[in-house]
Amino acid sequence: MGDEQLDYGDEEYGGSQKAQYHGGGAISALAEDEMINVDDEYDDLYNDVNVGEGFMQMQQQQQSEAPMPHVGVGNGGFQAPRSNVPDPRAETMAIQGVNIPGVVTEGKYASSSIRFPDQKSGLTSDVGPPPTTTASQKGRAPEMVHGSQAGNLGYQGSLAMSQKIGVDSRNMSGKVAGEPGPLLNSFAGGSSVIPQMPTNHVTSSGNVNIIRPVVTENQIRPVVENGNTMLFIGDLHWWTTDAELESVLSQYGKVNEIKFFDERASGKSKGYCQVEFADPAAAAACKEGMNGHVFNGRACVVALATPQTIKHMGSSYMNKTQVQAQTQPQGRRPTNDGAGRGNGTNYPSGDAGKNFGRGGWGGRGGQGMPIKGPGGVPGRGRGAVGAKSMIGNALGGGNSVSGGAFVQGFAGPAFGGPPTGLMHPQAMMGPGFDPTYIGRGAGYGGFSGPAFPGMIPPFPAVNPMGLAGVAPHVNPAFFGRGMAVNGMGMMGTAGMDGPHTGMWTNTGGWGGEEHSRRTRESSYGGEDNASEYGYGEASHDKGVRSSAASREKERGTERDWSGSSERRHRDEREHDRDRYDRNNRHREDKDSYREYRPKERDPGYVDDWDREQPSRSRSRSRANPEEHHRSRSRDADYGKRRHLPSD
Amino acid sequence: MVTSSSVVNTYPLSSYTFGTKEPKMEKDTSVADRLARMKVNYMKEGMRTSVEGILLVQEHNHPHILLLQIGNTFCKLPGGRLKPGENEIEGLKRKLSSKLAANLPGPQPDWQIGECVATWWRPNFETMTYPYCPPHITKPKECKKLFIVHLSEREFFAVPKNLKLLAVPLFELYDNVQRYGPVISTIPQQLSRFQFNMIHP
Repeated sequence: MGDEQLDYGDEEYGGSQKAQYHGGGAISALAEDEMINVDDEYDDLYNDVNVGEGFMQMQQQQQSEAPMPHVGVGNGGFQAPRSNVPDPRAETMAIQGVNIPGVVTEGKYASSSIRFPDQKSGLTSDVGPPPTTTASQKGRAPEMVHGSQAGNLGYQGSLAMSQKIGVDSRNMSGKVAGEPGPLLNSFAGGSSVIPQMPTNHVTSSGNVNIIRPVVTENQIRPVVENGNTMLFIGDLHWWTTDAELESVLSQYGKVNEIKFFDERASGKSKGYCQVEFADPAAAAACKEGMNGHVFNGRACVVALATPQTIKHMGSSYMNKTQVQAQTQPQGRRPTNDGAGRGNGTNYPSGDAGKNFGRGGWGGRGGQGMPIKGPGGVPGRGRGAVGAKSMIGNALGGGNSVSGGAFVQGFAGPAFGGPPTGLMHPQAMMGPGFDPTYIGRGAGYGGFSGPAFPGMIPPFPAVNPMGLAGVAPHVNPAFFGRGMAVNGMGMMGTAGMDGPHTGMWTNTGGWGGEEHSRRTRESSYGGEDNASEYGYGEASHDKGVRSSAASREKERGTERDWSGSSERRHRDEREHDRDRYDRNNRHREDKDSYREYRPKERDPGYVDDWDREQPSRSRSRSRANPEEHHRSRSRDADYGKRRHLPSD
Repeated sequence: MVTSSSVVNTYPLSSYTFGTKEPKMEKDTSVADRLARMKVNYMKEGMRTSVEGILLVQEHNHPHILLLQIGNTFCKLPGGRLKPGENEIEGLKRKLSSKLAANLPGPQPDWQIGECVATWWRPNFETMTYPYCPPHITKPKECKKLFIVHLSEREFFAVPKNLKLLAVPLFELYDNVQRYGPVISTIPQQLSRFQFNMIHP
């Protein structure tokens, strides 16, 4: 068990604490706590009954080991690293905490707040959801409450969970004489969340459970008045207008400003926006009430903004603009990884970038705005990992992690540099933040993928044009055909994800030649139809190796270029992809494509092909003198065609 | 006075006379200022409509556009913001005179405004403009319209002292976004449908 915990959470958290507490019964509790944390990642149910015991100790440990930048009052409401509201919160909490049966938390709050410093500022004042959750929980059996609570707590501190936890911890602290600390600590660093429970557990397990939910509620409420008027709303369609948004937003209060984040190169909406309300209560109400609201058939995600995330979004936006303009052709991924950002955190960036690629983020992305998750750089199409966040919501119920929780976690420095604006939105937007996403003890939130659902459009998504913009030689219509097309288009852009790229990398055999041929076509054919042309060509000439070979030789230079780009893409993509599979996939695509037309060798086929693209054929004929190697019919048609367009 | 024809008569640069007049300073000292002022105006008057004129001359049988150069690098078309409710054509004439006509009392040049060849939209208070209004934007902040201006054979232009009037060939603009920006560098495409009548002296 210990091993798991060590791996999972902070080393300092797990390891050192373990060692220290090895002497007493707390150790076992600790172990359990950590175990629980690990479980949290994977299971929704937390049996945190034992959690409390080890917490206090852990808390203390944490404090000494990792002084938190901010002193959060366990409210969970704290905004980013600032401990702006700890004191008032503590007071309010104290007052509210009283609700807990038998729990005298007031006195404890003061001490609890001390603990909070451990917690990262990841928590946002995202109190909304928790309160509701706790309320409902009150009536339930303690165990149940615990479970949910624990679950939340278990998550990286950065998540809203932490907020809740903080609340709970406070209650807990009340219960546990003189041990408010542990509870609070649970906020800090996700893994420690659970420890809080154990403390209470020791004193009065039954009560502890109950208290927690209650506390959460109370604590959460005061958080609302932390002055946060900014929200991020994401997971919108790119055609969801600001007017639509405003009409819904105005129901919650006066809106100061709605600022959409869009791709700089095209002006297209990235699918998320930043809303500023006139007063924080409206913002909180909106966050609770509007989360999940369906715009044009798509449920949005609402998250509170934190000063850091706002700053990051803004800066990433700027970066994006500049970075993208330059890096666009090279593929967004590298850019996204914070090249332009200067963010300190490598980890998140890397993930973000990687995730995006996988998500088939193809959009222009580059522009500095990665902000949303698109990996910062990812062009327009950022993959939408979003589903997770939704799940998280359902999961959390009360975990309104959104926003702040997202990164703070225990990784203080990490937060400092959200790789790109994107990262933040993700974190923020995933109120439901799936624990699995959080990753192990990754305060940063361990984006396993673009958190923001909206950010990354699915590969075949709306942005086919986005890619086209970058690779003018690719026929946008081609994208609809399938992988093959994308592969071609992607040539110039790194945006596409691995699988697609794989198409390109087919170097040997049947697939390879066709691929390369296609490449050549695209480069040669110029803007239009390149992919289509190549596609047809490939299938068409499947059997005609000789001509292909000769053609390849002719276009040696072009081929090299495409080859190198292929290679580059290959390197960038996942290497473990099975090329053969890709070939097969490609072949399948081609087959389906072929179905549209008569069999390749048929004269009819040739006619169709030629007719449809007379210009191409013409150019091709010029470039490929050996076309006469093909079937006679083709030649005949070809010859005819050659003359026609030239009129 | 809008002549809608696809033929544009262009005269050589030499058929025009250029003088100077007092400087016409930019109202904003920086981009930030400009955007801030734009914001203020938007609150007062709503979406800003700007009009700009494409004045064409010919040299060596190739159309050239008259651009006003500010400083050493920044080029812009003559034109400007319309007053609230002002007619586009009238407004453009007013702006052309303000920028290029002599301040002397007397007849102002009779500007022949042709058709609108391009419309650019500014969705936010930023420097980005697009040839369409992005779908998620219902309240663009600015709409900029480019009109062809048919110059007559003889004209007198008085150029403000702080500006330079350049005649830039189309091939210089084409595909030159870095130097001229997306609006001006794409003018050759907008004009490609016109037939230019190169009139020699």
